[in-house]
This record gives sequence, C-alpha cells and structure tokens, in this order.
Amino acid sequence: MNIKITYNWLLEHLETNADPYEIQKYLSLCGPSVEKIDKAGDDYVLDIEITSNRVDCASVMGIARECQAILPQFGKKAIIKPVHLPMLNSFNEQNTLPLSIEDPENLINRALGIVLDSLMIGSSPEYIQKRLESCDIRSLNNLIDVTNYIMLEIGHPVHVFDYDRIKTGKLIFRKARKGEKIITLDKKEYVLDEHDVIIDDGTGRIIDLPGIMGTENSVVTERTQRVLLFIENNHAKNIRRTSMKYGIRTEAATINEKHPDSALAETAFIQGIVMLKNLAKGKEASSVIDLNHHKTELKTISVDNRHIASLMGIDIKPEESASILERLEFKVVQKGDALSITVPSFRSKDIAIEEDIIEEVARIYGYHNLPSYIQITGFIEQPPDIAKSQTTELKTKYFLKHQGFNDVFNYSMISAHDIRNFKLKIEDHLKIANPISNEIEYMRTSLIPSLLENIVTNQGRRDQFHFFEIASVYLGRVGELPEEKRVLAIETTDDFYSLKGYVENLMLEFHINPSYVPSQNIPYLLPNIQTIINVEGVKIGALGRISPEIIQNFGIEHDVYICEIDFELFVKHAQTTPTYSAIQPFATIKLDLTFKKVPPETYSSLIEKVRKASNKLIDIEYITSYQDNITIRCYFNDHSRNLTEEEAKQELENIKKAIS
Amino acid sequence: MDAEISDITKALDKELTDVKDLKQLELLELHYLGRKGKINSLLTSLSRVEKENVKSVGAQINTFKKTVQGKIAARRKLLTAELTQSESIDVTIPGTLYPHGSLHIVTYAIEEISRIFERLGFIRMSYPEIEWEYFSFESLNMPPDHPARDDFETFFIDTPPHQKYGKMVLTPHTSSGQIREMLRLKKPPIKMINIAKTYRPNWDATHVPMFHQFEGFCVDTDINITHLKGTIEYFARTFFGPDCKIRLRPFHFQFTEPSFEVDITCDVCKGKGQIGGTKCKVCKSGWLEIGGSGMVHPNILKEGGIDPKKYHGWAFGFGVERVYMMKKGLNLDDLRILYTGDIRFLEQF
Repeated sequence: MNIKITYNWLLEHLETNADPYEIQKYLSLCGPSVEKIDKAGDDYVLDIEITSNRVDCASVMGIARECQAILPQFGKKAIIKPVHLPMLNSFNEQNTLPLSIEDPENLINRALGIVLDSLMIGSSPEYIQKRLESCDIRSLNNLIDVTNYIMLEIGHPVHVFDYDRIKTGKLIFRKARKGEKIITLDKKEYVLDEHDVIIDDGTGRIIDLPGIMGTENSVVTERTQRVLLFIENNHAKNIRRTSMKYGIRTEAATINEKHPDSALAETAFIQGIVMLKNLAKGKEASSVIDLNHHKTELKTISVDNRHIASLMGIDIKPEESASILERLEFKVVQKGDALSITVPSFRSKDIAIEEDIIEEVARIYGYHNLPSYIQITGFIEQPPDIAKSQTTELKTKYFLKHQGFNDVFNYSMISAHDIRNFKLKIEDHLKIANPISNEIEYMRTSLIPSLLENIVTNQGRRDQFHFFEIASVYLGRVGELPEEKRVLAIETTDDFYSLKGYVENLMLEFHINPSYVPSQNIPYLLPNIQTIINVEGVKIGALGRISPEIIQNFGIEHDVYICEIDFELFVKHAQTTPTYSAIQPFATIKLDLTFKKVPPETYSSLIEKVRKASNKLIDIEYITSYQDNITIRCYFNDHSRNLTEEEAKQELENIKKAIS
Repeated sequence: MDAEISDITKALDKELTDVKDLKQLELLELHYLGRKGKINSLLTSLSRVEKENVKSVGAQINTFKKTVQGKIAARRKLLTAELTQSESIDVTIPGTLYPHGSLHIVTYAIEEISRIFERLGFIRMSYPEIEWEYFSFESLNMPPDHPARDDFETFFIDTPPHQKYGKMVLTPHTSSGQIREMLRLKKPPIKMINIAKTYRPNWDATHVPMFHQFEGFCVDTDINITHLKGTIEYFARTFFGPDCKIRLRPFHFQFTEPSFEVDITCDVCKGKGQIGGTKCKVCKSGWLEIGGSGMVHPNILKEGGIDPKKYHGWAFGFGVERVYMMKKGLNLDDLRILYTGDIRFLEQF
C-alpha cells in the first residue's frame, strides 16, 4: 500500500534538519520508499510505499519513527517530539449515558468507546482540511475528519457512530447469520454469511461492519449531536476475508487486515477524545470502556551479534547493532556479543526471529555501505540431459532463424474458439478457473492453433510466412501435475517439399536420420499430404498440409504446411558428435538413372529396392521428377580399388532390373 | 640467325598487338618461351652452327630471349592495367537476398542471462509452470489468506485440489523452483538460475498475462548479503554495461529475510532523475526497479530440508522482458507487442 503524508505534518512530530528530498533519499535507501514528492503550497506531499509487514509505518508517527532511526546515519538530526496526551483513566468522571460493549465470542482483540455529547458539527479548521486533501482524503465535517486525521497521524483506524442512532447504547460483536443484510454508509447492500463479524445493538439490528466500513443506519449525519467514539482492534484475517469477499477496500480495511498494534488503538482513542473536545466542543458523556482481550505481550529475542555480522558479511560491533536497534525503539541489553532485544509493541507482528533483527540492523546500517563480493562455493553439476536439451534448443532456434524462420512466443493459453476451429476436444484441455479473457482460457495441448493465429494476424503484411515456436504444451493427468511436454512446431506457406526440405536440413544439422512414412490419420492434415517422422522406428513428429476445413475455420488465405516435433525425442536423438567416415581414396563414379514410378509404389519403396540391388552404391541423390518419371543420381564406389566405368554401368543395369 | 631472329621478332610484335586478354597472352608466351617454343628451337639449332661461332650465337639467342621476355612482360603489364580499368559494375545494386529470419527477444534474453550466470558456475534448471499452491505459496512462507499473496495474483486451474498440496496454479513467480531445487539436491552448495514462464491475471497497456522471470538461488555455508550484492552487480554490469550501478532498497517478501528491491541506474537520465531540469519520464529519481531479492528465509530452507543454522542463501527474481527492455539502445517500451506475433516486430531481431 501507499500512503501520503505532508512534510509540515511530519515536522510537528519530528525535530530534524533534513529537507523533504533528503528524507526521500535516505528513507528510500534504509526504510520505506518515498516514491514521489509533490509541492502543495508551502508544504510537500510525500507518497510513500509501505510494505505489507510494516503497517506500523503507515502514518505520520510511523514515518517519524523511521526518520529517527535512519536520518542520523546520514549525519542528520532526527528526534521525535514528545506528545503529551492525557491518560485513559482521566476521562472517567462523567457517567450519564449508558454504554456497553460486549464480545462474548472473542471476535476482536480490543475495543475502546466513549460517548461525547453537545457536539458542534461543522467544518474542520483549514489546516486539517488542507492536510487531508493533500493526502487524498475528502474533508467532510469536523467529526468525520477527526477520524481520518487520526488514522493518518497515528496509524490506527477510528470510527464515530451517531450515539442516538444506535438507540440501545449497546454494541455486541457477533458473527453474522447467513443471509443477513446490511447497507453500508455508501448505501450499498451486502448479503452476509456466518464468517463475517458484525456489531449488533442488542436487538438483532446490525449497526456496523467493524474494521471495514460503517453502516448507513448508524453513521454521523448533519444533525448528529452525540457521538460514540469507537476503536476496535480486529482479528486481521477476518477483516481481510470479509473485505476481499465483498470488495470493500477502504483505507481502514487495508490497515486493519495487517495487524495494527492494539496499543496504538489507545493512543488514537485518546487523541480522538482530545480533538473532538477541541474542535467540536464535545463533552464526555459516558465512562470509557476498554475491552482488552489480547494485551500484546512484549517479546524478547536473543541474538548473537556474530550472527548479525556473518549475515551482513562485515565486522559490526555489538554496540553499533545495539545503538541502531535502540533508535528503532527496541530495548537492548548487551553483554559482549549477546544481545537481548525487547521488541516494541508496534513491531510485535513483524519481528519474530533473529533474521528479522538482522534485517533491522542491516538496513539502518545501510545496504549501500556493504561491500560486494562474488561468493566462492563448491561446484554444482547441471544434469546432462537438461544441459543437452538447452543447448539443442538454442542451436535449433539459431538454425531455423538462419534458414529464414521467425521465432514466435505465443501465450500458453488459447481460446475455446481456437480449440474448436482446430477440431480438438475442449475436455482434453486444462481450463483456467479464473480467466480474464476468453482469448486465454485453456492451456494449449498443441502449438499449431497459435501458429495459425500468427498467420491470421499477419495476413496482408507479407506474401509468405515462415514461423516456428518451441514451447511446452500441457497435458492433463489425473491427480498430478500435467505433463509439460516440449514441442517444436515449424510453419510455412511455401509448399510441402519446401517444408520437408527445411525439416530434413534440420535433421541433418543434428545428425538425425529419420524416415518419412506416409500417413492418413492425422486429423488436422490433408489425408494425402501428410507424413509421420520416425527415428529408429519411433514416431517423433509429423508434417503435412493443414486441412482446408481448418484453414477456412481460421480464415486463412494461404495453404499452410506444418511440422510438429516432439522436442524431447528430437533432443534424445540429436548427436553432438557425429561419426566421421574416412574419405574414400578410390574414384567414385556418378551415373544418372530415370525410372517410372507406378502407383501405389512410392519413391522411398523404390529407393529401398535400388539400395538392395547394388553393394557398390554408396549414395543416392534425388535429382528431379516429372509426373511419375523420377531421376536420381547414383554414386558407385568400391572400398578397395578404383571402379571402372564399365563396372559401374553394370551395377546400374542390376538396379534397373531390380526395380522394373 | 639474324634473319631468323628478325622474322620471329616481326611475328611476335604482330601477335602481341593482336592479343586481347591474359589467357591469349599465356598461350603466346608458351608458343615463344615454352619447352617446345620458338626460342628453344633456336637453341636446338645451335648444334648446326660452326663450333667457333657457337658461343657468340648462343649469346645472341639468350639476349633475344630476354628481349622476348621483356616484350611479353610489358604487354602483360599493359593488358592487366587495361583489364583493371575496364571491369566495372554498379556496386550499389543490392546483393543477392538470402533468408534471414529472426529470434524473439526473449530467446536472446534467456541466452544472455544463462551465459552470464554460467560463468559464475550457476546451472540453469527448469521447473513446472503449472504448480501446486503449496510450492508457489505455503512452502514459501505464504499461508492462505496472507496479504502477501495479493502481490502475486494468480491464475488457478479448474481441477480438483490435491489433498496435500492444494489447488493447481499457473506459477505467478519462479520462486517455487527454490523448493524444487533444494528437494532435488538435498544438500548445498546450490547455485541455480531458473528461467520460466510466469502468469498473472493482468492484461492492459503495461501488463501481459504471461511473461518470463529468472530466479537466482544460491545456498552454501558462508553466504551473506555482500554476495548477493556482488552477484547482482556483476549481472548488471555485464548485462547493462560497465557504468551500470545498483542499489538495494529494503523491502518485504515472505520468502526472504532481509528482503531487498533491486534498482539500477537509469540510462536515460544517467541516474540523475532529470534531464535539463525536467523530470526523467523513465525512472523514479534516477533509479529503475528491476526486481526483488533477499536472503533466503530460514523457513524456506527448512521446507527444502536444509538446516538454516548451518547454511545461508540468497535469492532474487527478476522479469526477463523487463530487464531486456531496459537495455541501452533497444528503445522498446511496448510490452504487449512481444506476444502479438506481429511479423513487423519479430523480423527486427
């Protein structure tokens, strides 16, 4: 959360020679970050980020305390000015109006209340209005302004009820009943359930949603003459649950859900009485009620200064650690390196272990004052399969880039629309329970729908497309985390043989020797333009042309050719060290051969026969084909001597016979 | 002999004039000076010369040979000079276009980050992108209802929760990798860099629902804050340039204690916070936030089965896109375009 306070307001509580910009600089280095300073007349508004564990800083007083600890570290004076408030028991003289506060179910930590009578409602003095408005709070009237002013100054939310509208003078904390309704002071209706804590006036009527927002039936109005000044210190978890559930995110709720100190409630309460008496001429009209279930017990933590020094990585004297902690209002008993540290009440929720104390010493000492070193540690080995997978992935990416492909990163989530258009089953996809857009609702099981969308996005921008993506797809499993399977998908609008050429080239790059087996049953590809890619008899992928129906579903104006490869299997077969075959010293003779293919024969079945027909044939190169006439180039070689042209021709004759 | 020499000279002079290129000149040279050339045949004819004249005729032939060599050389020189001048093309016409392709900037970023940490002996690991709540929150000191969970708004998967580990989530940060790496290794030293996709339900001008984070994690016996500082400083200098400075600001994370936010000096205003008297639009007072870090909380070490009395550690988690977009000269300020697949964007890298 961020809070705003003003510099002049801070100076009321802090004696310092630091200007607002110095405060910004030094606090940001050692404490809360002052993100922005805006000038407002003769004052400055500091916009400060408060982390969720430091609600004690979320006030003028809180920031003054931080200044007191931090500024002297930079040679600046910073002393908190003592505030002289009356004691709680000094308000107990009047006892005319009935007031009782009950918490039979133990739902809160502390509650304080007093009735004030004969109030003069009106506008607040100008300095209060100005300060509130500088801090983004609208000034309403002196009664309400006092509560907001105290919250900003002291850091504990405060509430005022119209005493006469409570009617019974009774406030009973209880859990709401399921279905009970309230109308909050901003006139919104909420239906509560049994987890919400409310205040009942003893007749079953709800008069407050404590710690979060007042209700319409008990708030101060223009006619208010008597108020109940009321502060309760709540169970933070309840506040959070109710506030989040109904989306009622008031300033009070954001503080109350972070365990503000219940001792601060008392300070805020006394300040409230003093201000209401001063500004609205109120008079005490009841005794003070202080229901204090959970007195904060001050805890003491023992820390060895050597532990502080070792985590900070420097020599810091125990005296210096102690002095820093004392400026933060910790009580320290130091005996040599042994520090016995008593945590102030307002820090009791965020300081629990030694490391918390070390953080306090280290941040005030200044992280900027610590040296920088690179650690010297033992060796740690990356699992070889992971190393190979990462290297292969990067090499594949560079390879495809240099072949003219564009590497894309698509969202892991796709729409139901894309799943249907790609003719996959919705139920095979993990669904996001709280999607923010139907564009990204299901976890991908294939990269292809996203790649098709990439073409849709870019249609008209280029004539041809060459995309690829390497990413995980998410395959659901019962009762365990999904399989996150690494997949490579390559897409082009060229033609089948172009894509196949790229894929063959890629295989060559990694010395993988696949076979391409015609296939008909990959549903998203044209039945007669698709092939399975096998390596050592195992399918590692498929390639072919996307079916016209899918192309139409996506609204694509091109023919699209896709290859999808199981990247884990690809990595497994990829060879980092290929096998060298010795360069033949004997002449190789090249002879071309043209033959006719008669369906259902395929090129690869014929080549298989060609290979078997000659043991002098060391290589075959595909040259061209026209209709069913195919030309290949045969390379003949004998490992032990030079072949003659005649011998090679004889081999070619044998081949011709074998395939005719 | 004089007559012969005179005839050869005449023929040579004519042929030399007719020669158009170096190849023809080479043939001509062979014709006169080669093994079976005219000069050699003159020398062969010496055997028919009277004995007392052999010496002088021989000398005459040799002189003539030098003359021939000289003429050919002169012609070669001239021809070469002519050729040098006459060969001419328009060199401003573009070269043959070859396929070029592109890699995504996240690919480059991951490559560079991995390399930087590899040099310090950090290994890059990968952990689930779809995780149990336990690993993303509880084991990182964030029990249910904890306000700190707000900082990591989370996508949930619509599936029955695990009895022990709770709901299934899309990882809102890479820190779950800390627990997974400790459980894998069981014993320090641990030096890991985990780079992965992360997800949060925010999609607007400055947020995308999926992005990448990298998590540095180091645990050993004598690790302290100075090591975190040193490592991040080394990263920042290597990644952003030698002038880059860092600062640690106190912060709060449930899984580190102490916790820091890491800022680097803004390159636009050179860390001054203003340019010519006006506030820098890019940074907060000269500093740019790059992410969170801290000393590993003892509870987290315990969750990973490591004794917090014996070992300490540091951790950080930064946004991959975020740090890459801060690079000098890139000039890219639109995060969303990274994930649109727009070819006009992609092909620039």
